[in-house]
Amino acid sequence: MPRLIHSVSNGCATSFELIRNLWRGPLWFLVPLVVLLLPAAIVFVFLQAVPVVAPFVYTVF
Amino acid sequence: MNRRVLGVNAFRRDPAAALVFEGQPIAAIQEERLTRKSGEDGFPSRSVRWCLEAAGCTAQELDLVVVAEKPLRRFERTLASQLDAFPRGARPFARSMFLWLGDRLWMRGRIAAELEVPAEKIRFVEHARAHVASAAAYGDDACATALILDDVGEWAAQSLARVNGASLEMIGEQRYPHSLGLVASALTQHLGLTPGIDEVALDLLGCAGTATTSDALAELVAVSSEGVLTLDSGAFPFTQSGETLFGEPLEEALGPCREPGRTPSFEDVSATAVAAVGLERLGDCAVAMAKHSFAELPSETLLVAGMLARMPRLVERIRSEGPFSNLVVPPWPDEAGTALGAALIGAESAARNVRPWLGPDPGPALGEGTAHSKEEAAANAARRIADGQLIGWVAGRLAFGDVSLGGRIAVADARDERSRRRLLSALQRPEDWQTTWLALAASPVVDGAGSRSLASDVSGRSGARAVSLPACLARELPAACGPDGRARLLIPEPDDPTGLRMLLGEVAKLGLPGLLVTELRTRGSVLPRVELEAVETFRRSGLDALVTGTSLYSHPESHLAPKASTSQPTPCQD
Repeated sequence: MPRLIHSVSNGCATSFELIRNLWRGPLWFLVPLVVLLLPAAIVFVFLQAVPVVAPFVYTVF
Repeated sequence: MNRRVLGVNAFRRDPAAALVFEGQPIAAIQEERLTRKSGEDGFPSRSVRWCLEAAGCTAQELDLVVVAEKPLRRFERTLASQLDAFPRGARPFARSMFLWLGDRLWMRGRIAAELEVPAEKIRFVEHARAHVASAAAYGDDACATALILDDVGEWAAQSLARVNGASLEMIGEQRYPHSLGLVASALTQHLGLTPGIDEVALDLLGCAGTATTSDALAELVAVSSEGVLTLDSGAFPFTQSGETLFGEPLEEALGPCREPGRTPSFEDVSATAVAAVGLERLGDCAVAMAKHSFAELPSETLLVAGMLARMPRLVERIRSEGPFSNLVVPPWPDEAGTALGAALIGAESAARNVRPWLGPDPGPALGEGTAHSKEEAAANAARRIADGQLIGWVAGRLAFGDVSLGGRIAVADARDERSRRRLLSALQRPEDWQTTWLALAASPVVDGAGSRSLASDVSGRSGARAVSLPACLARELPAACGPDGRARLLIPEPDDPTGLRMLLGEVAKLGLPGLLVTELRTRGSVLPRVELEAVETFRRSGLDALVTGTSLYSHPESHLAPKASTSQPTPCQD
């Protein structure tokens, strides 16, 4: 459990850093897209961890 | 200063790891040397483990882990360039987002989990900065100008920096997609070769061709007097698709592309002409950038690194036409070197004159030596070379980088014109343009304009150099010269631990002025690390004998080897 919490907090920190850097730079208009994409990242990560679904995820992409 | 710093080049071409202890690099290795698979592009787990073992420490004892890339900035670039191509690049966009969002974006967490170190110990440095640090470490100048000619880092394709001790100041950059390295990749793909790997073929094939359509390419690859590169977006649609790097305008200028996998040769006039045109244009652009670098940051020494620094003829143009009096190319000019650079930045080290012998040694001998000493083994090998045999030579620690030959070489008599083809065929690399070096014990003394570069610049450096041989030497060593009469020269350093200097001394006693040298690896394989892997490579090759330390192996069927009943290579008594 502590490892999971640590991993989630690392992921959140990375996401915030990405959004903050984008917002401060010339590509600020990408922020909404990234905000939409980040939940997809969570889905990808979870799907890859499910042995039954993982092969289909790789096939689709 | 951080005491123990690990540098990593991950998720790029040629992943590698390097470890710096108290400011000095003590171990560095590329992942492919350990996995035995070329074309790796993942995380260098084995390299990291090997570096830690070599340094005798655990991951938890590291003060810092430094990655030679800022992944968030690279993600920005990927996202922006994919959107630029929308809706044409919808499929590459989906594939790339899956890769990034599912894996690469979370590099910090992944490295922390892999090494079991706190995430706070993981830092990221700009890719170009890591290149600069690695090049500065190889040179011996405290102050220098650095020009990075790469494909693309986060955003930067070409970068200019000032080196002053441990301080690296990035002065300017040219951004993707206007990248000279990617132009080289596009031309490589146009020739039917693999982009990202075979760019050096442009340099090697180009020397046999005539640059007939230079003007057409100059319109597509424009460079201003300030060294600003502008690429035609139709000819080089890097942002529009993931796989094809060139478009119709390039085919109109250079002719239709070759089928992938159809390997060109020196006899192929159209391929050599394309390579010559490409090489000339790349050279024009690189020289313009070097001149601008001098105008911005005048200094005596120019450090060159990045993908294009692997091309000796291009580097030679910068040296001969550029304004810098001294030019340094590290033996690790491409991506692997950034692992070392990242570690040095993390350690705040101003290390200079770093030698490439940072990999594993050949390990314990597999059997009893067949010679009493290394000198005797070298003398035996020299006799065989003089008799026309092809010899594998393994000694010393494995060198770091892609230009270093290390002590893992195959050698032949450079006097015999057929040696080059025989040597490459024996290693299952029959293409006549494949790289060979001329190893000499010392710089030849030459009259005329060539003397300065041969005598002073080459001596003591193992980096890539292509030099015109003096006519007398070219006549004497025809196997070493390319179609343009130039040879890639290799002069072992005085403290060279590979024993090549000793071997050259022994062949000189037999009247051979130099040796023809290539890497000891067969097609698609990588350099052997330890004696066992060297014997495996030797077994698959057509070499006549292999010398490792005091042991000499020969094929039972070799005409000079003792008869044996087994088909395995056997240590033999000379």
